[in-house]
Amino acid sequence: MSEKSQEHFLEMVRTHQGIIHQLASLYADGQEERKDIYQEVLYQAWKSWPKFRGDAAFSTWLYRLALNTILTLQRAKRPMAVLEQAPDTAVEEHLHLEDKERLHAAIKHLADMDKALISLHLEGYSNPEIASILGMGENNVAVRLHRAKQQLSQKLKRV
Amino acid sequence: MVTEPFDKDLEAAIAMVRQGGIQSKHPLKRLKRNLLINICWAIIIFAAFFAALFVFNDVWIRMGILLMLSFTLWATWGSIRLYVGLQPLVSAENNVKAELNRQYALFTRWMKVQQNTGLVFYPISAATGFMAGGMEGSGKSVAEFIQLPFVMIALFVSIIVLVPFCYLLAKWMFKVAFGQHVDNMKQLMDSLEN
Repeated sequence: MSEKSQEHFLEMVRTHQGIIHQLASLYADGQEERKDIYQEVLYQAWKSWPKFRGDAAFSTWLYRLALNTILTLQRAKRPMAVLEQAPDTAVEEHLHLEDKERLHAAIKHLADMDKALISLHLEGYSNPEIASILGMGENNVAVRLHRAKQQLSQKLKRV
Repeated sequence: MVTEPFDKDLEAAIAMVRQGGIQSKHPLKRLKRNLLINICWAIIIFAAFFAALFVFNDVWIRMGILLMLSFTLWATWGSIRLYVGLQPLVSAENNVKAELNRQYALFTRWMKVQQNTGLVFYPISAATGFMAGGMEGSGKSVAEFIQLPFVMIALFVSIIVLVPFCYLLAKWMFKVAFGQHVDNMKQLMDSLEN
């Protein structure tokens, strides 16, 4: 890869590093795992960068790659639908936090695929775009989003 | 929701890209490395069996060795095909479902190669080893050796025990290495359907 291409990649990654930061924060348990996710996503992005043709926006490309990477990493076993089972204290710890941080904490307790759905939705992606990124049907996206929002709303009300 | 964070760990990771020091710990990379190790061992085993072919003069032992050579070739060919076709990078083009399916298929294919090897290769290897060892130890030919009392029963029992044992051992080894990862992927795939 030429130095120019490398610089372009680094510039793009710096501009969109919020995507990596946000997804790693949602999926990692602890700082060490977050660091591993940063490295893995950046490694994969770096290796795939020569194939990036710009057909999609860089942010969408990076989002899809980051999700594919994080969801296929060998991580510690987690319950799939933990919101109802999550200890209230885990969320109550965040009582003092600002709304955005409370929302982030609540999303963190969703099942892995719901986290992806909600974070894409909050990013402003439309349902067809989310369906395309995740490989789900549009109706399924709408139903799952509705359910995930209900779960979030219940959890946020309780705190 | 995405803001411009300042995270020193992320900055450090970006700096590692610049320095060329960033590494992957992705299971696909581990799988590819395991496959390579497996292929190297298979080549060594093949060479050892090939040499053994010239050591033993008995036709039955030679047939057993030839059978093992065939299975080694078959298993190695499966591993080589998997190795060559294994793209160790995560796809940025596939959607999440397609990528999960792709990686799940790779791991389960590897699991089948391992289990089939356990099912076929080890028992034949053990039986041939048993006959070769018995022949050398007793100073008799295979035809004479199997006439000894309990030899056929011992051989039969060892095969009956070894086949399920080796199969389950291969299954357990895969489960230890990648079992939880494969289960997680399956759960995620199911959660995309529901």
